[in-house]
Amino acid sequence: MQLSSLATQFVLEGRDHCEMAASGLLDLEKHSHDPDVVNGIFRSFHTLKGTSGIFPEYLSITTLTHAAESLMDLIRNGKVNIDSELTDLFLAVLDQVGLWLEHIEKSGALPVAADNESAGLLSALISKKEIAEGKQESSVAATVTETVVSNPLEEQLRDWLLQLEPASKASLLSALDSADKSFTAFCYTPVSDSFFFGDDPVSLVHTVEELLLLEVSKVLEVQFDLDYDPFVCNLRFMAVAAADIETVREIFGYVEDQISLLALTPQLFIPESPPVIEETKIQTAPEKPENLQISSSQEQGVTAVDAGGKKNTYIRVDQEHINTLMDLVGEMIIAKNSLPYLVRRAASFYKAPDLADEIDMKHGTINYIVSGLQETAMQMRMLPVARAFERFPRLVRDISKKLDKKVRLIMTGEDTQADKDVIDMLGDPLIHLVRNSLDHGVETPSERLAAGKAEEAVITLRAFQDKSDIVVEVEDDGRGIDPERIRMKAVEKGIITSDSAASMNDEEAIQLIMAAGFSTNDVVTDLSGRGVGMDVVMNMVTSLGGSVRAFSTPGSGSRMRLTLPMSMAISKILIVCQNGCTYGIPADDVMESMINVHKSRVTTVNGYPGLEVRGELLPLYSLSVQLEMSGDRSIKPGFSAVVVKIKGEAVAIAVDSFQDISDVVVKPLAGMLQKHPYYNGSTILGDGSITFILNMQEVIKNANHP
Amino acid sequence: MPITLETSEKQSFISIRGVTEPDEGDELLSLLREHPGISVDLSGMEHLHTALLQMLISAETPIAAWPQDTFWRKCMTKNPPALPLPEETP
Repeated sequence: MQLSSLATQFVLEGRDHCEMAASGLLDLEKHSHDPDVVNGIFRSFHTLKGTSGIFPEYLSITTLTHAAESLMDLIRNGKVNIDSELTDLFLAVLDQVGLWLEHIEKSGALPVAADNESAGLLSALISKKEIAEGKQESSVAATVTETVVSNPLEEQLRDWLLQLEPASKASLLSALDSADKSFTAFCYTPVSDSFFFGDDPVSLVHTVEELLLLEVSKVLEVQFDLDYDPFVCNLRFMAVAAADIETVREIFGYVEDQISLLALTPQLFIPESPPVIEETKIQTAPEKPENLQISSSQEQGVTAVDAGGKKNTYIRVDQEHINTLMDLVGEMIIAKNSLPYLVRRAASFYKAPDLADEIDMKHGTINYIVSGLQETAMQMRMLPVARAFERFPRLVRDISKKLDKKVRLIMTGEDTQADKDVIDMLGDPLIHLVRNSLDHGVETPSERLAAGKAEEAVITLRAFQDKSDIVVEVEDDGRGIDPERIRMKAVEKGIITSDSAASMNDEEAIQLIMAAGFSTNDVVTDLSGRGVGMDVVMNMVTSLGGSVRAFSTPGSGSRMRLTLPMSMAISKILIVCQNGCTYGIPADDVMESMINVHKSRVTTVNGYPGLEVRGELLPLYSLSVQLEMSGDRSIKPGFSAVVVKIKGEAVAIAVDSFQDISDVVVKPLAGMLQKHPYYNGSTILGDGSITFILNMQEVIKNANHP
Repeated sequence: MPITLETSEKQSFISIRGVTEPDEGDELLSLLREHPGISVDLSGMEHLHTALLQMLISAETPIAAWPQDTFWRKCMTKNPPALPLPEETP
């Protein structure tokens, strides 16, 4: 079902508030009663309640968040201390709201049994509130009814009065002081489909005589774009009228469920509790711009618009639009790459060197513009790794509690950025690794004390940038991995021979945990370390063009390192030729390249060729041999060589010749080639030909070389 | 027609006159989309339906001239001062 733009906005903002509140609750556990954090959580519940209020069909959300907000208010006022049990309750409320938002997104409505789903939570919230307020325990049913009946719009109205400009407050107080009249404040939030019922809310407000103050605002921040739906009501009217409450109530009689009324008194301008902090601005959620601000001009013509300072910094864009833009940029790069071929053709085939120079100059200009376009388009897809990390405070808290372990989570480098696809796909491997750390790496408090360690274990999630890669590490100070036991298990499972096991150093042995077939349940329980799904982690990361490396010191802890490309969309490659075919080598792997290498620089050691590069002898491989090509596979005189870095080691690859270094759009392989280990993907070159991008690690892997 | 596009050599603006109905929302919407940033003359406007008011607020439309009734100015002004505004000359 297609959601209205207003409901879509509600779902998006609702999710943001659920995440912010959950993150705040976890912070609160660490920093007992930080008022800023408490206010932030209160604000999130308050906004969830307020925005859901304009959709009568989402009443369950309004009711539940209203109850949570009321309890949070007591915490805010210091009447209740938040503890682990209350945190669990609030987190469960947020989980429930999150599930409902997901349901709304899929079906446009709440589940039929929504009220039943939340009945337990609602009772718990109300009961906690009543106990805190010292009320006699009454039946749950009665309190639920009371909560449903209470009008959540009233608190919005109170907040609005408190936040009025000082001059307005002074004028109203002065009017209250001097006049014999009654004054009424009201908040009117028409339902979103009110136009379809023939309502004209502004007309109703206009009938209120002697409006001293009126503010019209948008309930949800909806962009005026192509998706804008003018027939969904999204306005809220806040006002103060010089009339008694009954007169105003009569005017709004047939929309009484959409209005809140307060008889104006001076006490309403005095805050009862600490002020709520300003709404936090986060990158994914647009800053809530206030209403249009208009300054008058007596001149005929345009009246200036003053947005009251900063305009929106962020806008939400459908991901499809960004993907289309990236595809177009990719096509543009392919088209641009054809120009150097045209230059060569103009010079050699058409014998027009002047024309070739001109095309070359234009290529330079187009290249500059396309690079800027590409960078901007890629930047639009960049997200902070915090997005992948944000679930872990909750996950670590819940699992460690369940396992009866004490664990502190430290996260660093959350601002490190990577492409949205990389960030999205990073989540699952990280969950595997953190779960493994919690389940198998971290010891119980008593084991830790016996081992002379602090009772509380530390798991560190760390991200940083390394050239064009993003590195993410999961480290714990648990029991570590015993390489000897890994060797034994690997031999037992037939993954390696006992001879290979004996010749392996400890670091190599630890990498065996990522071998397919190593991770089975019995291994997990037998081994004092990891095992669950490590091959799954490995497969996920390598499918993104990344790598996984394990480090461990038995007794002191383990560190798993994931290295991934920051962006998967556009890559720089070195195009090489071998036996008449072209291949792309990822430029990130290339350390240097050499042409016309003299045979005298090739030395054979123990029957294996090596290439002397600045006094150092590097293993030399022939690309034609490695790719098992037919025909002449010998290294020819005057060959070219590429020095690449594989697992931190420099190796030389002999090729026939080089072409260009080029930015290309790498497309994944399909069909039979999809699983081919040697190729990361394919691309279209400037002359229209298709070439494969090599996975150098795999190409070298099976080399018959020491 | 209560909603018209007025074009002169100097500038274009949308004029809204009389009492508007929700059906006129489509017309105003297409004019605002076709002419981003265009201003609106409300001096001859008697009533603006909520759908159209909401549209002017969402599009942050500059107001070239206000109607006689100060109620509408309050509707479209952020943090309006309390107590009735002085009467405006359109």
